Amino acid sequence: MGLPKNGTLMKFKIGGVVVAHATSTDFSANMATRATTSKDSAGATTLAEGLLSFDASFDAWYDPTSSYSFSEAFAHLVARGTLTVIVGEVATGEVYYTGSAYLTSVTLKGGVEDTQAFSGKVSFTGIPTEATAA
Amino acid sequence: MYKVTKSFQLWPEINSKMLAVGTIIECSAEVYEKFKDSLEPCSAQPKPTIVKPTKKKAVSAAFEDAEKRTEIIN
Repeated sequence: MGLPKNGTLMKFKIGGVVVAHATSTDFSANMATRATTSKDSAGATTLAEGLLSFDASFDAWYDPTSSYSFSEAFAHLVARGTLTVIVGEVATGEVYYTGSAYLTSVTLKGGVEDTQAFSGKVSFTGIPTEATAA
Repeated sequence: MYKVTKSFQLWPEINSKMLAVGTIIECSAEVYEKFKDSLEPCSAQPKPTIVKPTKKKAVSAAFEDAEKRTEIIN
């Protein structure tokens, strides 16, 4: 049994550039189910396979001078194009997930005397690939 | 990690900002290849020297009121 991974190593890369000052990264793979319950189901829900969907998101501190900050995320969202997104560990031999995705949400927030932060969400088109960093 | 040595635009197609000289960027090998004239690899940072407190200091810091408490107990 190995040691669980340190979450700090899980990076979020958009267009080949790591989101700077990131504080958290998420990647989720989902499958919706479709209902098949009928009067023949003996009183219990029955399901079948449905749509697969893949999403990822990040939270980061806001530094407008950094290589990937809110300005770039906002422009990418408005451009409505697909981006190559990588989520995971980018060191040699480590696993990451990559695919083509749309930025679907970007948020900039600032509280009183609090560090400004921004966040982004992406939705993958198709199934992302699990890869190992070379 | 790379340091920007010459100001450049990562994504001219979205009119992204010009990255200032000195900006640190963490990017893929492909991005580095594309902009290698404007980037240089960051040198390895020297490890900070860790000064270990002496045992005596550590104990006294942990039990600041040890003497006082001994007095009270006595």
